Amino acid sequence: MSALFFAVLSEAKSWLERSQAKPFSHSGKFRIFKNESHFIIISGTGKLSMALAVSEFAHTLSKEERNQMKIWNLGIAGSNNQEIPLGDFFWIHKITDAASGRDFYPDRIMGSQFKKETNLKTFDKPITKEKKVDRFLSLTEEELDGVSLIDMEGSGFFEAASLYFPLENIAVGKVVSDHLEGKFCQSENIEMMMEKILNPLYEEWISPLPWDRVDPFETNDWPIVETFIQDIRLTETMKHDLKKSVRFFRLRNPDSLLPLPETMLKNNLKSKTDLKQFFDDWRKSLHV
Amino acid sequence: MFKTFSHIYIEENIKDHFRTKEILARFPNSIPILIRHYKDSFNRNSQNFRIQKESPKLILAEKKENFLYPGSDFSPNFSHPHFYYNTLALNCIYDCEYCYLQGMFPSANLVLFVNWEDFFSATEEFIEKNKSLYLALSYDTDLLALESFFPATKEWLKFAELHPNLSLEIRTKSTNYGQIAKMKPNPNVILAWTVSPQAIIEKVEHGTPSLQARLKSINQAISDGWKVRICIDPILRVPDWNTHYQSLADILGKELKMDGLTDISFGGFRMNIDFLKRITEVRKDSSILFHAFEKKDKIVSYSKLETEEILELMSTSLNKNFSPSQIKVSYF
Repeated sequence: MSALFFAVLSEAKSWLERSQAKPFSHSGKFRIFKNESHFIIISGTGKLSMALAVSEFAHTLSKEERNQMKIWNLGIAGSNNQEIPLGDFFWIHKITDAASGRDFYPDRIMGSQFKKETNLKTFDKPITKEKKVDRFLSLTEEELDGVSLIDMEGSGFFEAASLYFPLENIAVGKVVSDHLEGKFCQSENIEMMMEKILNPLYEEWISPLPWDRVDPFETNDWPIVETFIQDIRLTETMKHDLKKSVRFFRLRNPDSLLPLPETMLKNNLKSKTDLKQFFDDWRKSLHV
Repeated sequence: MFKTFSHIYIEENIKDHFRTKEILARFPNSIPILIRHYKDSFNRNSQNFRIQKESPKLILAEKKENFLYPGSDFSPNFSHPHFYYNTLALNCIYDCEYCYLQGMFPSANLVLFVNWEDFFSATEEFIEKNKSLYLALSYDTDLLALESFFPATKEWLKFAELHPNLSLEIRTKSTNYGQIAKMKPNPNVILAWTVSPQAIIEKVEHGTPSLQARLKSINQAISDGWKVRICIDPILRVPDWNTHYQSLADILGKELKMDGLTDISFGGFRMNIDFLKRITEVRKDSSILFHAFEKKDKIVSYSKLETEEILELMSTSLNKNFSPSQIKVSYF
């Protein structure tokens, strides 16, 4: 499963079309779209909206689902570097929240067709290098020293996502939409830019995480043992120790039948002492 | 997956340090990322050690305090009154299934401290005050294995030449002896190689050199006049463990140059119970970690009976080829 967060509809449009994702019925405030196994979420502008959208989405999933989910934020960002052409795509390896000064480091573990990486700074207002532009915050070259890309959602996305999802599953990517000239981007331009990266990135987005592997022990062996022990009163500690012992047996004997005690022995358990003996003998048979 | 060290995190305050630049020059294709403090990256919550180990990154940092730590109770002190270790690097390039670092550190990334001079100063101060120091140099890492891009072992050997009251133990599984082969052997330095049966190296000590390759390095070091310690540690009760370890003792007896051998130590598997718990949460494919260990004082280890079997087997096997004074039991 994969989830993709956008701030605005124009960023998401081509992705919604390609994935054929349909509105997902839920009780929350944010727009969530879903196809068979992938989600697209639109948060609205700003890091608070983004963080709330991540939180709301996370609560629609179980912990197991969250642990296996790839979770991305894609969108547009302004560039402080005039030499970076508009439309260039960057993966983000460092996010700084301008308001709190906190830094976040998305792990780059997976390779991508898009090779470029850079840092991102998230501000609460749109940023310009020009002086006195209405609704923009003007910053000097000095204040932007070391800053590569600028957006309004990245830090909110990453901070919230890292509360609910494994760090390794989270990625942030940005398309350069302007050079901080102090003008809002037109929807058509944003749609066009996002469409350009769609085809190469889509396959990467829907491909499963390589570390999302099924543990055959959990799906094959343990359910058998759980069924076997359901009518005897093992403590949680005993179950925990038994699980370790069964796993030990399976790792040492990948092709053998799991040794289960005779059902008659189980039926004859009359006291705690009997149970303890039964349990100890079983574990011993698993550690031969 | 990215290859090893595809990204290098660098603390801002040491970005211009000459050693930082030297290390970066070794990895021209790596992506540098400036960070404020190594712990901002290394100590984050919810990192998965196993996944990171598939694509480990480098973190270059400055150590600001704690240049010497008292030796752990799990490690042999070889009867020295001032047994300490330092941490020039955190984590290891190898991936041994039994390694306690998997449970001790939240991240599999490798931290390298570049301010060696501060370590040297702290060590000098200690020696001046206490008159002697036995320092384990390669503790939460395998320092010699990093020598090609982090040549700390060489510098410490130079430092030890100037400080006769300093004894060093440099423990490794690497075959990087060639990196220090030209240095003058120092009687206060012990080069300690951890060895295991080849079958265990292949199945459990992922990424480490073969037994034969290690023996070659060991014999070269002995020939060159270094004091060498052999560590068979930890001994693991894998299937046919007794045959494997008996055979290892025989191989060592036949192939090692005995004259320069300081001692041969062995110890059973043991680990802090919390570390083992953390490791088994993410590493579920290693049977050695799911053994029915005995727990005592927050330590897990083999049962008394199993330990006695190991002691008996190793004592008998090693006594065939080594003098009893050479054989040390490091921990049981």
